[in-house]
Amino acid sequence: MKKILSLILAISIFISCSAFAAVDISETTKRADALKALGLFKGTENGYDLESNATRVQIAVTLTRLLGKEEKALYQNNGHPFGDVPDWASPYIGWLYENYMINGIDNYNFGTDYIAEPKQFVAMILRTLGYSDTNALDFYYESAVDFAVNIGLIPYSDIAIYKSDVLTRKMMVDLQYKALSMPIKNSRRTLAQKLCNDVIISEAIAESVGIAVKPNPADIFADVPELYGNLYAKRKGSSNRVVCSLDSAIEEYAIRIYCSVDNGAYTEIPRDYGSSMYFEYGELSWRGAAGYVSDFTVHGVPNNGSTYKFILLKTSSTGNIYDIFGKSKEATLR
Amino acid sequence: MFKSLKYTVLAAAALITALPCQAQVNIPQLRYSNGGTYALWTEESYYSSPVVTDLDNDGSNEIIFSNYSITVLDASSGSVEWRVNSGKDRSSQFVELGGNDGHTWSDIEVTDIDGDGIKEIISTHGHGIVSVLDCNGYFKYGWPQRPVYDSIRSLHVDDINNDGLNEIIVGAGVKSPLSVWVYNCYGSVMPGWPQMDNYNYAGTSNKGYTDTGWSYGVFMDAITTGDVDNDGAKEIVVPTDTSFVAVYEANGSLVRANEELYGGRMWAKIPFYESVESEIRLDNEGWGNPITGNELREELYAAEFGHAKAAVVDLDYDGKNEVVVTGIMANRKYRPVYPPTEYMTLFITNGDRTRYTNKALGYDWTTIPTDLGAPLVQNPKTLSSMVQQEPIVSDLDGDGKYEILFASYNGKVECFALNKKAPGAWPFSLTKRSSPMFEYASSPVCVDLDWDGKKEVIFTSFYDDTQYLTPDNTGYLYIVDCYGTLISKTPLPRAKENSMPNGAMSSPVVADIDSNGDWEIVINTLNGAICVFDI
Repeated sequence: MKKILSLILAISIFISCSAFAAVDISETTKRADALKALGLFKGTENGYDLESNATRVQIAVTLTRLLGKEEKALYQNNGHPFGDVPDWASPYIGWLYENYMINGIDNYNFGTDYIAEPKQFVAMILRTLGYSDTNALDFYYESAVDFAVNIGLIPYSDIAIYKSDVLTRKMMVDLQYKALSMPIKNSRRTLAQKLCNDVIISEAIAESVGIAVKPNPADIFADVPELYGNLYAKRKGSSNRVVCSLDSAIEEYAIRIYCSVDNGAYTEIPRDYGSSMYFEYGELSWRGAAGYVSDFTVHGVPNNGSTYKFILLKTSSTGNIYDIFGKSKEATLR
Repeated sequence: MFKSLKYTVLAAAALITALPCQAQVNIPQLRYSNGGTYALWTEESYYSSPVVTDLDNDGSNEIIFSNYSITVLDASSGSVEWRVNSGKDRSSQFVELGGNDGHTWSDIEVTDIDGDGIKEIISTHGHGIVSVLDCNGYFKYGWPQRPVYDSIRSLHVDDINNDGLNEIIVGAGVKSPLSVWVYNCYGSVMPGWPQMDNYNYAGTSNKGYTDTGWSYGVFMDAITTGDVDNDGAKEIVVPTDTSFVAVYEANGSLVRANEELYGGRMWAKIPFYESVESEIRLDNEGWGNPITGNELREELYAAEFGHAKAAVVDLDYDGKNEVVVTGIMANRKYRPVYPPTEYMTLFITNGDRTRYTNKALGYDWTTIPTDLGAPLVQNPKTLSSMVQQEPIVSDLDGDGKYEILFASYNGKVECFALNKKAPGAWPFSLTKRSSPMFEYASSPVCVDLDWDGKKEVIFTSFYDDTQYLTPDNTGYLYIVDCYGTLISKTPLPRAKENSMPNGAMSSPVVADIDSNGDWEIVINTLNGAICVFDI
């Protein structure tokens, strides 16, 4: 009876993993390509080997690469207390151990060839994102998957897969890829941005493989908080000038205005006088050395019966489009 | 059998001598210890390194050091030539117990301050003493001075007004923005000092946003000088126990930051945040808006320079100096009381206080190295928070490009190339996960010990004082190659008193003390005074 139950359990695990592995494998291959281009992932002698199960040593090596520390690990060649780690993997395990990123299955064994559990890799990824399970500061190790779902690292629909006992290399790649676009703990900066800033991955390659996509603010208005209140749009007489006004003045740096015509896509209006449509600031008021503004004149808005919508958006003072502070409510001009 | 063995040995010897001579750094051998201790005890040392020089021009070097008293040793033997109590000179009888007017925190200086061709000994002490002794141990005219009654924690000697005479700049560990004094070599406070006297407070200022700055006490050997704004004259750079670095002209006026970005504000009004955006936004005049609980680290992580230091260096040889400053990244939500703090890091700015970039060379310091590791112990009352944050700028590997090193409270010596990567095996961890002891490094020194064109990095270690320490805990002398790989780790000698641990918080000094053509390493240990290693 016991043997039959084990067999059923084994078959069910195989089926569930196979089913998961069969979904979007081509997409995962593209992600593996992207990670490989960034130097964050390598295959086995069998290529990416996405349908195989991942071992504990494989996830440790993968994590080292995701942290951008492979070269450092090989250079430092730190010691560790585990007797079951092969020579080739020892620098990786040593670096992770020395930096409190991993523990063994006991004091003397890492469990090198054990099949990794998803929660083990999820916990590692969470630590990479800056979350801590030390003294359950941010999450409990046992409920790492739930925490990952809560912060959006794992889609809710995949929760059962990640709560299984077996981590596939496909899951490993998917999770690693997703982690790169996640903000690090308590920050606006994504992991990919941090790795770019720390000169661990190339910004150009990250953009070329789609990991660091320069956001189009018009595409992400829904996610931007409405910090600047109402925006009112009023045409000046019958001219092609429209004055957009905020309820209250805001500091005059890094302001962008977007326009949608007849419910089409929003496009940014430049502050370039040579453009057919452009905007300029109204009068500045001064508070100390800082200038504040509440009115903007948009030029080149034809009075042709179309419906125009405007949104004001503000980034950080460097104008970095990755760093959007907030937006106004939408103003409609009919 | 013995004959064949003899030939084998000879053959081996011949083989060895036939090998090309390879430069190597020898294991340090202790020449002497307890130099300058008393018969039964010794004065505890802090961060003050010894000076090796021929003080009296007699052709042989002396070692001058100060922990409380000021002591001159014969460098070769370690025997005491003369000694005076701090705050006194040799006209007063030396008193072993209770005779000193305060401890010595910062490095002492031995140089000719008044242009008479004879070296003076300049030292600062607790109880506010600034002392200048001649080479025989007597006060120079106009000295000592006492600007405050608190501990003087920083001393810097330089000719800042280009008159051929050295000025003496001191910073005090006071609970006040008025913390920096500049004296001329005759003991008079220079016009325009002390500073900062034109500070104001966020939200309550009635002095305007410009021409003022933020400042507070100077709690470590923070002060340095250099031509920050590239105007041909030296400025005085003072990180204080805030998120701000004050830069002064020689006359005490504040140096202005980038006009366009900072609207006429001074260097001392621009905060150092992890996020450059928060830095530029200048919320609440740099102190940040009140915490509501929804802030992200971009708004929360601000530097703390209470134990910091800056360096003024032309990093990319373009004729313009950059400013390198190390600091602790604190979290504003815990202000005003730390810990916890987050990590220790470094900033590089241009002379106009914008963050440094050189796109052509691939250098971009608009973002800083982050998350380098929390202190080994999150306790402001232990030595973890007292690791001196001093950027050491040196071309380690001889490739013509600078590296920047600093000892961190995470138990490591950090090293960054200008492309922001840690070269080779850096950082070097003194404290391993398996280590029973929390060990910190002194500020490192970089010297090419074996004349191979690449510098070695030399530093000492000390322990966190929350741990149970025994006399066997002596600290170490480390020598690390330019790539961060350990060459040698040598125990420091035991403390003078049998019951005490040892270590060294001050930087070692590498010098040829006996003029024999070989380097020696001189260390002022915590509880054993001076020791000298041959290498």
